[in-house]
Amino acid sequence: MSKQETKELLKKVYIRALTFQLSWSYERMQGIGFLNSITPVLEEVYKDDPKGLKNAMMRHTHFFNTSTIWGAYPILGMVTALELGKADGETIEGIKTSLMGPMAGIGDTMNFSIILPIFFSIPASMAIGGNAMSAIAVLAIIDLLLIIGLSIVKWKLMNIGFSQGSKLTQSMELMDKLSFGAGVLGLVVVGGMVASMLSVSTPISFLLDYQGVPLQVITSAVPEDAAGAVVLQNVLNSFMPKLLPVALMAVVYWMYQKKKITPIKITFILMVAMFILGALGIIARG
Amino acid sequence: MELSILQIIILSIWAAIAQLEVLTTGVGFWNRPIIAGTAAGLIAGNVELGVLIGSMLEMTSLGVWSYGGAAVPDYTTGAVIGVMVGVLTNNSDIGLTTGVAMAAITQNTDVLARTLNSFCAQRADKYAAEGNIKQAHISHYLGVIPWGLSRIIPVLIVGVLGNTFAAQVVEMLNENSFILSGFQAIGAAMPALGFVILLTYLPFRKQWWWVVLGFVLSAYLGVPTLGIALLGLVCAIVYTTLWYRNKENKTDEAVEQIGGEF
Repeated sequence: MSKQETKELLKKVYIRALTFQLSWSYERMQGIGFLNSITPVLEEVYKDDPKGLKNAMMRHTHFFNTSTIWGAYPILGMVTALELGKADGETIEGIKTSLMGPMAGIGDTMNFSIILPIFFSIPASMAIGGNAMSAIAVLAIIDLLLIIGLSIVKWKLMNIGFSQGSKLTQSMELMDKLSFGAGVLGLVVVGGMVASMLSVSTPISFLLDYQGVPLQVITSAVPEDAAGAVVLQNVLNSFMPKLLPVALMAVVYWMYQKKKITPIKITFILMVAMFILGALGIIARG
Repeated sequence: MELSILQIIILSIWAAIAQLEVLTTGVGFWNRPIIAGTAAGLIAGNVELGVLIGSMLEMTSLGVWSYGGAAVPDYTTGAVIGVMVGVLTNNSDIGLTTGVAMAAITQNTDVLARTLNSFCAQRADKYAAEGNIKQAHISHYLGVIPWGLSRIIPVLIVGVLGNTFAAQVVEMLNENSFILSGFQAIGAAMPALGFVILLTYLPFRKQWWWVVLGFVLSAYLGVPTLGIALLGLVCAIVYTTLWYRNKENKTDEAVEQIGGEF
């Protein structure tokens, strides 16, 4: 096959893989998606061999699941090369199953340490801070860049997978470094978000000797003529700013990590607890 | 505010498209609440509320992603419904709370779709054995039906119910302001769960001090998110470079020591 022809073939696979997870099911996950994507190659390899085509198609219906961007495309590239080189079915099956796990791991780190927290937290912090329109503009630009950038990344990864397996391990080392750095970046950003986006505070104030009463606890604004008023939030702030958000994080972390409570249960615990605290005027947003 | 039937239908179709984007090209992340919610706000005629509710749900659901196909709350449908209810009641906290609750409920329709799609796999098996490429493709594309309907139906149901009852709910809330205070506290606290789940996917136990750095930058110095991300990038580059250099040096030293013994 000439270089131009293989490029055309890879292009066909790339386009077919644009619907990769459409038939995702618990039974086969992305298995049928893989078959759907690799058919142009099988058509080419087995054009004079209907029996071989049937066998090859049946091989590619098996269970498969990996990261779509970071895993499926390099593996599709490798399998294309192997099928064109008439590798035997077991080898191809082995490559698919042995690579899908590690590639999914790398892909998940990419998606969760870089893309979600960093790219999306910037417009989110703008929206929560009250700049809805600039948040929308930034979000639109970021999403457009992601669509273009990741579409190119997919094509590159597929070509690396196709041209040789050894280069794939090299780029896996690079991705390993990248995900290590992404972890650092993600942690710094999360630290900032705890302070800037968890806006729990307390509206409680204590009034001393106000209108003849020695001590009153109020949850509304302090009256202007109250001289001896102690605003609880100010006391907390003088100790450490954003103390309540940190305390909340500690409680949720303890529930999730130490007590192993499922996220869905924590969601409802938080909802009920915060509703009661909010309704009683102990916790407010601000 | 009331929504027209056409708006509700478009919202339900948008919920399906947002999910299908991640199943097909997967590069736009339209299933994330911030995008699903913003577009839902645009359709419902209040894009500012849409981006706000979407952002709050985004923070709440950080780290919530279906690893290896595990069942997780469907925050995409949750965001569309949350924004719809938020627009109907003109209240972002009620929208957020509804979104979180509906994400948990629509997890079940999501599981149903993922189960029903076995039908595609079995149909594809049959045609693969016959070597029929065209029918194998069709089997794959049929997956769009369970995926789409599992999003469209919940949004339609809540939309119609919401239109009917929103006015009464708003009236009831205005009479009892403590309920709104309760919802506000929920809205302020929910992102904590998203941050915690995200931390467990990051190397928090080994390198917790980076979180302290980010926190100090924001809480004490008031650096905005983009500034923190840029400084985080510098830290990441420096630390990664040092870490890998150190690792390589260690292996070199080990080789030298072994060499020295002989």
